[in-house]
Amino acid sequence: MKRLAKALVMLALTFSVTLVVGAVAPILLVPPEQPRPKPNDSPVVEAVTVPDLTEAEKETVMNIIKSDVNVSRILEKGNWTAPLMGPWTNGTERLGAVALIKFNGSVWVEGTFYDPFSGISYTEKLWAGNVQVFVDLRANRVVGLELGMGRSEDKAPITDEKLVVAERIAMNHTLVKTLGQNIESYLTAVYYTPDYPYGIAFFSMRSNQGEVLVAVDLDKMVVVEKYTSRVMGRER
Amino acid sequence: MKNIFRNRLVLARYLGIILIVITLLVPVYAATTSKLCIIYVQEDEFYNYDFLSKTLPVSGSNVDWPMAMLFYNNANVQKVKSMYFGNTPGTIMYARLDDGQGWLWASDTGTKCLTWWSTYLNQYVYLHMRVYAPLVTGYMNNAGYGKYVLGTTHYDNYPTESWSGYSEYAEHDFASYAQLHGYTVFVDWSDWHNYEPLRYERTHIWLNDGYTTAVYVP
Repeated sequence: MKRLAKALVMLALTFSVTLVVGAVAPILLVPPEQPRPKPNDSPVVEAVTVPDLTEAEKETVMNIIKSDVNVSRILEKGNWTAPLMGPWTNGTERLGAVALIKFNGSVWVEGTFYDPFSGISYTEKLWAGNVQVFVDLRANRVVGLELGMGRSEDKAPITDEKLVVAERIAMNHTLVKTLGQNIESYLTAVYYTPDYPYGIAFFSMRSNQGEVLVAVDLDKMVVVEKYTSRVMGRER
Repeated sequence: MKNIFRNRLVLARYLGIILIVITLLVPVYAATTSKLCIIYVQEDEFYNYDFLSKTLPVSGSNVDWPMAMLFYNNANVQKVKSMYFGNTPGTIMYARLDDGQGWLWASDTGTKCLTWWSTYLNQYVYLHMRVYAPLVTGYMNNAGYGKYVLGTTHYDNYPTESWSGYSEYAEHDFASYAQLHGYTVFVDWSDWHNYEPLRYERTHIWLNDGYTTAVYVP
């Protein structure tokens, strides 16, 4: 009996020590040795250094953005901040500036906009979470903008027969089935691009088991698999 | 008159072909930095950016993204990719490394999340990391880091991929994903001398604080 009690105490002790070590080990883990740049070789090659924006230029950029009719129409749809602004270059010379404007939530935007990244204008209707505004500082005007596809808890203020059919197709996708019961569908964006002249619609399908984005070609009425997947990054 | 018209047509056709060839030859994503340097730890050396092509001498006008991640202790390329989104087909980029036995090129297409929600940008993006080590071993090795691999991170615009960048935000997302899955992470642990303030260079959006994140791989 005494031996059994002793064994039990030993077992309990071992278990406790294991628990403590297990809990503390990750805290005790030290980061690796710091590397250093090789003193004589740093930097190896001097590339062209494009001048950053001065405070006065940043103020000018914001004034240009706020006074642009198209941009201000978008900005007045919601509250926003401009957390980042930087020079816009072609690698060798400064072309102007770009400001990242981030909305609190998302705003519904419709229009045809010139995208300086791709060099093409296309029509889009979407919940925008942000807008990157390109300003030509020589001409002092906005020359283009790129809207980032955001996420809304509200339903999109558009619908038509095609979108209803597309939503039904999206809802039947195998990935959406993995979301279980009580799936909510939200139209997130419709783009009209050279690849999809009749439009491509994006639906955010959500349940308490996650979110799936499904893209549907509005001409062929089929799911575009390359743009369809489970959304990650919302688990934090 | 007819001949002149025909000659012009032929000339236009040739010019068109030449233009297409030139377009195909010009690297689409070429980007420039003035921060390119060699980082060394013990007997190992590596450049603090990855490259568009295996061109020597290496050039600050031929870079893709800054090195932003270190996976150390017992890491290898496949193990690290399987911690995230597996092997992803795509554009190959290159890192220049020396694992103590001479310089060599490592290459990778990366591991890419097809739809990631970026709280930093408040939009859907693709989250992409390229992981580098010598092809033969799949890892670098020294007494300080153990078996280790290097990573460059960035977002791609969803769905059009019209721009790539915001390495710093992508680095933090890869760090938090690892933390969420139980790995010990040291965010912005070491200065790798590749600070890039926000800069829009064609389709390349630079943003990096210069501090690399280290992830302990058991």
